[in-house]
Amino acid sequence: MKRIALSLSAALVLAPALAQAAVTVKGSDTMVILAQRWAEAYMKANPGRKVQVTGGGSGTGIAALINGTTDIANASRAMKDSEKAKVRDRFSVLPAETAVARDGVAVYLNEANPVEQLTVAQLRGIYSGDITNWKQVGGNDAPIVLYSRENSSGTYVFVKEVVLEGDDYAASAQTLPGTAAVVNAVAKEKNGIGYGGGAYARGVKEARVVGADGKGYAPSAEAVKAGLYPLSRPLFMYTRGAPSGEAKEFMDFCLSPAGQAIVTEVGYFPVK
Amino acid sequence: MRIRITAALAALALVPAGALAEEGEVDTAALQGKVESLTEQFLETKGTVDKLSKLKFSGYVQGRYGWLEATDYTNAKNTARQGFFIRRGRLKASYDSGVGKFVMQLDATQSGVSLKEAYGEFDVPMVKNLTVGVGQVLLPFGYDVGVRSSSDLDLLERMQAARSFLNGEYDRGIVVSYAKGPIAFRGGVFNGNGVDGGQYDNDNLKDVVGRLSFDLGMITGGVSGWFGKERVYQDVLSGTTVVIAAGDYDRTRLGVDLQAYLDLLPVGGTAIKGELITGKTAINASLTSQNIGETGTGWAVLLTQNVGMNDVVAVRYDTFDPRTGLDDGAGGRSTAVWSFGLHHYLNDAVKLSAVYDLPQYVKVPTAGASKDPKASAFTVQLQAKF
Repeated sequence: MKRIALSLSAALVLAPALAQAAVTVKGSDTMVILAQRWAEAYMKANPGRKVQVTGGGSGTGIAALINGTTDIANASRAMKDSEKAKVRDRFSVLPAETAVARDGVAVYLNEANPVEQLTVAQLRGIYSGDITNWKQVGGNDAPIVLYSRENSSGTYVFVKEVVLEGDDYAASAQTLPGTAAVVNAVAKEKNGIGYGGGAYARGVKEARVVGADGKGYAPSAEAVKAGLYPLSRPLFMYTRGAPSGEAKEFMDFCLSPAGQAIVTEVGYFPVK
Repeated sequence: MRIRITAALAALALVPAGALAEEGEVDTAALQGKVESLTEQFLETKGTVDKLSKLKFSGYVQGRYGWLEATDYTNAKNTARQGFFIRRGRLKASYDSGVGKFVMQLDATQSGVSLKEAYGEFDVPMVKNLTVGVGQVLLPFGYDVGVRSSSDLDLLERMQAARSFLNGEYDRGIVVSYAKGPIAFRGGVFNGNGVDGGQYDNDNLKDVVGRLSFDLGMITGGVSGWFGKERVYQDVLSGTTVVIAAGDYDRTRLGVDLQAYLDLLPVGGTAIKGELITGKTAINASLTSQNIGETGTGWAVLLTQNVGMNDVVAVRYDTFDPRTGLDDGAGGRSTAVWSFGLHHYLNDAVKLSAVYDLPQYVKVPTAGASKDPKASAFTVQLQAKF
């Protein structure tokens, strides 16, 4: 009898806690809107299930995966070998990488800017500080105002690796906390230039970027899927070891036709 | 972000004083000037903050309570690790300039403050992933010492052979690191006496130490080598008997290590790790006939199992024979230790650990002597890391 009472007491104590247990998703700011939309749709389709989504940047999400404070890390860049080794050292499993969408990193220009197209070399010159005036790339005689992301952002790392080839950003680049803030700043500053996910481009125009074939491409679905747009990348979800339990169920939903339809709605490109 | 908000608030605060030439009329030129001035100040501050962000501090403290099966207060060794004590108190500062790194690490315990690491390392231009470092660095040998941090030890202490052959874990020298794909090499030239071997080398003989490793994700491992000499300048006498003859003695080690990581059980990841070290002339504060030129061999196998997000259990079998030439009952003495550990992560910074060590002699000097050293130990440790 006492045992039954104890079991019931334990069940009463634990039940609310278990009921509130949520899959935690943390990381890439580029993916935060997409992940929130996924979570809303998943919870609507699965009453009782809970998914908590927070941003902070890919680096922040990966750090949380390493120290065990998130179930899923969203990342707009691949994990470094050193980061994978940290997960392995702590949990004795390798992180599992799942591509859940594709993104074209858009280059934002103010709508009043006459420049329509840039090469990767020109972007490198602009973000390294070698090119400081729009007339050097065919625009007005006006100083270029640089906007960038914080170094915890996967987009920051992607642009640093692909555009700057590992070199540092110009000291004059103003770092802003989120892609929306970059878009907002470029929309207001007629000489501004920024970068971020294609899904955020509202009130600014996206520059065409010259691909390997010498033609300029906007980050459109066709160009990204065909690999013609030079600044495209996969968006990842990382778990400690193979996805399991509720985290797996949520990720399966993200990769389902319904989940991939949300990818398109938000402005990214499906992987399935 | 905080700087930008402060700058914006400051700009707003300045508006009534200088930007409004007349009531209701905004002096945009004055406002523009203020904003430009603040932008300039912001860029200057940002430059300073960017430089400071390259300087990083990390560290940890390991507070312990140790219990020993038999306590002999006449033997200093037996009083070393019991009761409450600080096992390690590390503070590390590193500055990464992008092309080079400067590191200093101190260890503060009840015994005093000692220098563990102090080196400069730079990236070799034109060769990707090639670095050269000079100073006092971690010995690039084996897995237990060369890879595993003291803050991550599964049984709180390293295997016996590593503690004997790589005592102190650090040495002064020049070290080269290179990685290409799954293969990496780290090795260099060292004094060879270890971190406790005095400020300067006692001879002009240098030791070459290195580890060639591979990383295939689920399986990692490496082979290590140490080739050097220990010089004894004059005969060491006990009365009139020569205990150690003057001359150059081999100081060598060879090591092999292998780690496998398995994602098999639903409760968490499993790791199986093994390491073997054999060599001559262990590092000790004072050389004796017990260690100079003597061949020793030790190996250990470790199993760790994660249980959920916050718990890890570990079991290790660790055996070491410091004088392989002497048999059981004929002067030899070797020890095998079974260790059992449990770790609970209270959060990402604090870890509570409990380890039980059960040593048994494998070889004893005289036939029939007891093989129970009465040296079982139970240790509880709280580690705080940042």
